Amino acid sequence: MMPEESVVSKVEELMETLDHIKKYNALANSLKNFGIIIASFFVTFFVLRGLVDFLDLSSRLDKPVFFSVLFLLLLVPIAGITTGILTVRKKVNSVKTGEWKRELSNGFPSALKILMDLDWDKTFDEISLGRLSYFLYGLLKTTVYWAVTFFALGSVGAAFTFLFPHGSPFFGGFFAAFLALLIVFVFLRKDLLRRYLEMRSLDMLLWELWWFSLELRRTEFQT
Amino acid sequence: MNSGEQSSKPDLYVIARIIKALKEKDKMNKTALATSTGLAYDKLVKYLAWMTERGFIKVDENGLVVLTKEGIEAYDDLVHWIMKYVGQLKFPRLRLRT
Repeated sequence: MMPEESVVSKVEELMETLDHIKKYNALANSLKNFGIIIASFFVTFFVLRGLVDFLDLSSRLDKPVFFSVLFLLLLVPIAGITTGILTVRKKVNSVKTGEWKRELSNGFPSALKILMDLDWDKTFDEISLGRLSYFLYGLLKTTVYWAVTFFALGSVGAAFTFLFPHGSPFFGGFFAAFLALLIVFVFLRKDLLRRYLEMRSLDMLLWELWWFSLELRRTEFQT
Repeated sequence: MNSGEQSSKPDLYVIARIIKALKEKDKMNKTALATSTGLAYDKLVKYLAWMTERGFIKVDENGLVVLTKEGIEAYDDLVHWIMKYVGQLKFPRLRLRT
């Protein structure tokens, strides 16, 4: 590959990476909406659970029907998670990418222009914000999964106690919380590992670009 | 390079465009060069004057702009200088998970 083509190819890689960063920032921007959606669905869930207790449905309904109602209620936070994730995904997918491709098709001079015109400080801020938001999003999502699992275990516990009234009270609060944590960890371990690696990649990218921008600014080409 | 400021720092992008166009067409008249590079004629003339001073180009007896050996070397130096830095960049494979 000719040196000119190599430069263009490297700048193309750089711009594709920066397009990815735009997606992280879209996630950062939709984090608030994600939180609101999750919170509103959970509030609805708690209100409905409160209503079940207030109306004393446990004694009014047949036990199988009552437990079915409890399990059906879990669909509310599950719908919240689904809606939240879809909202974030829509926002992330709507990010415009590749706007630089036309410019870069003009070859080396355009690659040079793109490099010279890059706002490095803004890029670093965007990477840092994207990284933080990605971490917060992962944390929030894991917490929500844990909460749903916890309430599901609570409902299973209630059914278990009904079926085996003299059985051990294994589904107490702390046990259910711990078991839910364990289940979520087992199910999400690959996802969590990938997120961790992704965040490390963003760290590496930050350092690479920081070094590059420093070299670019420090050295002045002498014609 | 601003108007009336011959000694100010030139835009490397513009110089690269001019040299690239000359490398592709060998020799060109100023109007064709302005069209090819997308530069305003008066701006091109100022750049050509700056480049002539440094021996990157010369204007032959027919008024055609010709790239010199020094001009080719300067362009290659610029490419290698950029490649020296950008070539060392390693980009991680990012896959955002929602």
